[in-house]
Amino acid sequence: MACDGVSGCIGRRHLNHRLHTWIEWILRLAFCIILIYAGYEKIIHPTEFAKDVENYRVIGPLLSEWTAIWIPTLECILGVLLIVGFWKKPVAFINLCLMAIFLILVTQAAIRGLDIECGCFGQESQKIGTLKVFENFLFLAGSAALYWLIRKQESLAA
Amino acid sequence: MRIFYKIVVICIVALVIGFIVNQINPQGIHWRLLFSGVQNDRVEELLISMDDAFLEFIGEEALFIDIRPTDEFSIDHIPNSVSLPWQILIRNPDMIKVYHPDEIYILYDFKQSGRTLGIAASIFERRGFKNIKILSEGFAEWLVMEYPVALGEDT
Repeated sequence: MACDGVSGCIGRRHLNHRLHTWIEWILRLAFCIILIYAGYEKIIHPTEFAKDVENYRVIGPLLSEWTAIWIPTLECILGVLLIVGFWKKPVAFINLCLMAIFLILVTQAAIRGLDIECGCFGQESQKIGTLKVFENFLFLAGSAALYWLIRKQESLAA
Repeated sequence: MRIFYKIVVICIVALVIGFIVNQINPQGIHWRLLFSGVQNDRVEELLISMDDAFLEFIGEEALFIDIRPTDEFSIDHIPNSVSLPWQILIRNPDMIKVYHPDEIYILYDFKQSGRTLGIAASIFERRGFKNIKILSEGFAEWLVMEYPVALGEDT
């Protein structure tokens, strides 16, 4: 995009940088709240979460139980690291992968017509349907945007 | 490559913390469940049909053991059955010492979910119990068959 002279270009770049920093902060805060809330709900009721995972009929009972001890803690750790700002790039990448996996799982369950609860927020979970798929798509879009912003900020800093 | 190592570290730390938290949490997934090698084939071998179980119930030849959580047991259960939640049993396997190893025991869950029932059965078998059975189709089918049910905490 054209700009009026060198000072104009620098000014616009500075404005963009500040805007990106703000959006990154908002996304980090939003994912921090979502991940810690979702993780905590599952940590206090792990057996229910294991059953929710098994209901997707993708992995067996044993793997569901390992998933139920791993994923909730991972979500909480990611939430804390996101807000603290430590290891931002790998944290954002894992967050992106998690959201992609959740979207795939929810979508395949919706396509197969499984009448199950998503298990996303422990006992507060909702039934899987179009709305749930859309919600997970929004989470994926948000996590992709966050990863892109962090990558861009880090490359600018370097 | 550095990002890859960081991802691995985060994932391993989450797994280790998750494992420890679940051992501390009384409602957590116990390590015996995670490392149990119970095979579904073994569960199939121990199954007793609903009709045969009902005959055992009529003849009072077997003791029914309910492995569901206590709150579910306190709503309804098979009359004269004993509540032995699998989450408590898996943490304190020695609590079955009060039972006699030569008697017949029929374990049941709400549904015939092989894994928890199989683990409960293996705890009994490892302690020398020879007549352990698993109720086929579980308590859900017992209700469908309209067999006797005890309400509340009474046995």
